[in-house]
Amino acid sequence: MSSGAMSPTRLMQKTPNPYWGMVKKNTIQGAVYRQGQMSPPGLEGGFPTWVYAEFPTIAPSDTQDLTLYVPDDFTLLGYLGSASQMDGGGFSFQVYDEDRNIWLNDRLINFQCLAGTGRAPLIEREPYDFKPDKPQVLLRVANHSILQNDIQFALYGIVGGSKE
Amino acid sequence: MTQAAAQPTIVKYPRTLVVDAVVNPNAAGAPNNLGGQQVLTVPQDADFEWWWLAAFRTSFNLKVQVQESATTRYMVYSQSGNPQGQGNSAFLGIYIDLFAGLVSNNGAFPQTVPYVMPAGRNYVHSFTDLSGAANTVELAYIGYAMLQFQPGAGGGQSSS
Repeated sequence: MSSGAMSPTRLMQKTPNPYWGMVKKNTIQGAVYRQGQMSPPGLEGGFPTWVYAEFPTIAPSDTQDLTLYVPDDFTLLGYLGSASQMDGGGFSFQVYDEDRNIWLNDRLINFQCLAGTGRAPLIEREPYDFKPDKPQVLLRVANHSILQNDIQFALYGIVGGSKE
Repeated sequence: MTQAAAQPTIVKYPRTLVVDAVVNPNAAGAPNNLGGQQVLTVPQDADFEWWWLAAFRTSFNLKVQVQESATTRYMVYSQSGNPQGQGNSAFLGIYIDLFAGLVSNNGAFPQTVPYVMPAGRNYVHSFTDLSGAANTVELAYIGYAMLQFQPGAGGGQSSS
């Protein structure tokens, strides 16, 4: 069998691939994936809930803060976002848990990197529980457009569940 | 020797529950007055395990709110924490494209944790059009009927 270095053909066309066996197959997947969980455990029976915020007339390049009053026993599973003006990337956002005093993302991040939509959601790998009683979230939104923007943002998650 | 009580068997089979509405143009005000309100009733024969939510709509300028009748819980909360009423009657819900996915456009919205809708329960859907034209909407709750069989009750008989 000729080596890949001598023959500039695509690796995927070789049988077997010359790199075959260089990484132990029995460890690489175990390091990356968690086995056997179809849904995050502990949330069975909880009620699907969206906490929705809107910035209908945010000025060009403006930044606004908003406090979201999250329902009791809310577990965060993902973000959703959209904007009417998408030049400059639309908008970026940052979320702060006011009860634990932590930013859930360390800096403003473009919403298309972190927030999904109804047809293309991004679900957090680990559910995040807010404080059970009257949790509050600070949402910071920065408009990237040179025009006035209409920004929509939602926290998707579960209220209640068997964790109770 | 005592025999353990026979446990009912739950058979899941695919089921889709559908909500249809034609929402009047430029409907405004409290959702209950829009004429865009539709009730989804879970069939009496089985609980429904909800896994996916898919939508069709004429225009994306459509807001939706859902209330579970028995518990009076709302699915969509406003930033003030009051989904409806309590001084927040102007809150019309969430844009439908953040609530459900279009299957024709790459995907439906998955329920990360499937929610079991009890048999016979009502879910009131309030739609608000902001597009200025009649908005035809269809929401498809995709999941499984959880049909319960009692051993010895005969094939095809539900115990509920």
